[in-house]
Amino acid sequence: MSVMNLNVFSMALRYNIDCTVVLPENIKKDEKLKCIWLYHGGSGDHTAWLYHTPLVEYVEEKKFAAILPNSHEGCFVNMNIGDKFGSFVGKELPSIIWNMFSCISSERKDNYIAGFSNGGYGCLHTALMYPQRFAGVGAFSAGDKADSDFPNDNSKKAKAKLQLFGEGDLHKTEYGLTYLADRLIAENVEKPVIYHACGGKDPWLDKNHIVRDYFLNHNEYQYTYDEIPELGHEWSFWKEELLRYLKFVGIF
Amino acid sequence: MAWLTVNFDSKALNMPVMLDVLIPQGRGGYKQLYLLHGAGGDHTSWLTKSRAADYAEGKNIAVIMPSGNNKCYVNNRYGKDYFTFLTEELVEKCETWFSLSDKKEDRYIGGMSMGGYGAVHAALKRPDLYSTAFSYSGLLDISERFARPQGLDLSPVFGKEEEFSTQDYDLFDFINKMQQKNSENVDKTTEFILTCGLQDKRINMTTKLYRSMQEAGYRVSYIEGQGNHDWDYWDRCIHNTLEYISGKNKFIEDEEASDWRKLCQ
Repeated sequence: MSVMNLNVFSMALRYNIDCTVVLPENIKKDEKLKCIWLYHGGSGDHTAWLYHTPLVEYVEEKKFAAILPNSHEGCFVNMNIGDKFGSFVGKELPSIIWNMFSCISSERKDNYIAGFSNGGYGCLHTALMYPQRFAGVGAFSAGDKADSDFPNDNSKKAKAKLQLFGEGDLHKTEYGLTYLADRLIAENVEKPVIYHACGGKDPWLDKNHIVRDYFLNHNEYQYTYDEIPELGHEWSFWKEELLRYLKFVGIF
Repeated sequence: MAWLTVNFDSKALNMPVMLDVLIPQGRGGYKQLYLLHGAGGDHTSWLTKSRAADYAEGKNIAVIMPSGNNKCYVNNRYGKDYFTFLTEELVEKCETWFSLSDKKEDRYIGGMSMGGYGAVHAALKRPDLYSTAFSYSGLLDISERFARPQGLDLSPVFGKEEEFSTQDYDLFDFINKMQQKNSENVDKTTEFILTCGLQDKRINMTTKLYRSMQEAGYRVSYIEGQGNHDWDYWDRCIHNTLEYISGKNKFIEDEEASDWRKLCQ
């Protein structure tokens, strides 16, 4: 296996940022690997998936590439007041990676995104913003930020939310997942295949159910939902779901 | 330009290794420069001690920096196969991972001190691989170094002095041996650029090898300039090298600049 720390200059962010690249050992010359993009959760970074799951072993065993971007606390979106992580992870970084690595396929059918918690929302957001780039998305413990309760009580958390998404109802903005999903239906474009999962003991299970119900009611989307009753908002759940998702897309 | 720190399992060395890579963020097809450090250093030396990254900015060149672990980039008499690692595995890996040009004309190798020896040694033995080899203050005469090891025990690397020629570790030996063979069949298309600072105590190694290679009909240049066996000098060397490879012939306010520009023409 090869684990690489990639430090790139981002035009979208206007600064340098790190990203982890994991590649299997025996790649043939001119081979084009399938690629999974893995998004971290709140307080995480580009190393989260590396240290908390057997990702490196999966990459070695099933011969695919994994890219772990960093979005700081930006939820992988263009912040209302702040950095443009959405453009970075959805547009700029994929171009950089596909140009830089001759062993990674740039074809839509070979690229999938997955993530958990903030990154679960984030990967759905990217997949619905850039449906032409990614064939599928695996969102774990992923609520829609438009559905989260937001008391503007001057707390640190409230300030962070304002910076990220702004005030008011997000359902009719590009931060709202159903807004983006509706838009793709209206545009009649090819949609990402959605795999969604939540732990039965996740404190935000109800928010996940809102997302689930939307997609179950919109059969324009190929949608699969998975729930593991005994697990919560934790790595044992995301680790298991990573494996299930890799199986779901036929990598494992 | 992006900076990669790579960790992978080397088969040639049978251990995990690290390397640093500077690579443009463009459309690919980059030239490659394998850049080797000296004794006591590792894959981080060029990045932490010179402005190599700054000079590489905006150029169409990937700079690949492996670790030499004081093993002189040769297949060791009593140890691991660093030459195989450098000239086979590393090239294969980098050209599989990254969008690099795999033409000989786009592949370069260079280094300072022990890395200068490693670069010349590699390019002499694999002239099919590298278009140009650069040696800065190279430790080019290992017999002389062997006689005065200055704390660096090279016997695991080269064995006893009388064993040198069995593996063609000694560059002078190797050049002579090649001359004795049918000289016309020796590939001498690779260019060698040997530089050294005038204040360097071992400058004689560079001038001596230059003369030997010239007599043997290699495409070799010798460039001397103000400088010691230190990073002030090697910093100017890598600056000139990157300008030379990128073919921009940019004017550099430097004593050696005129010599380098001549070479660029």
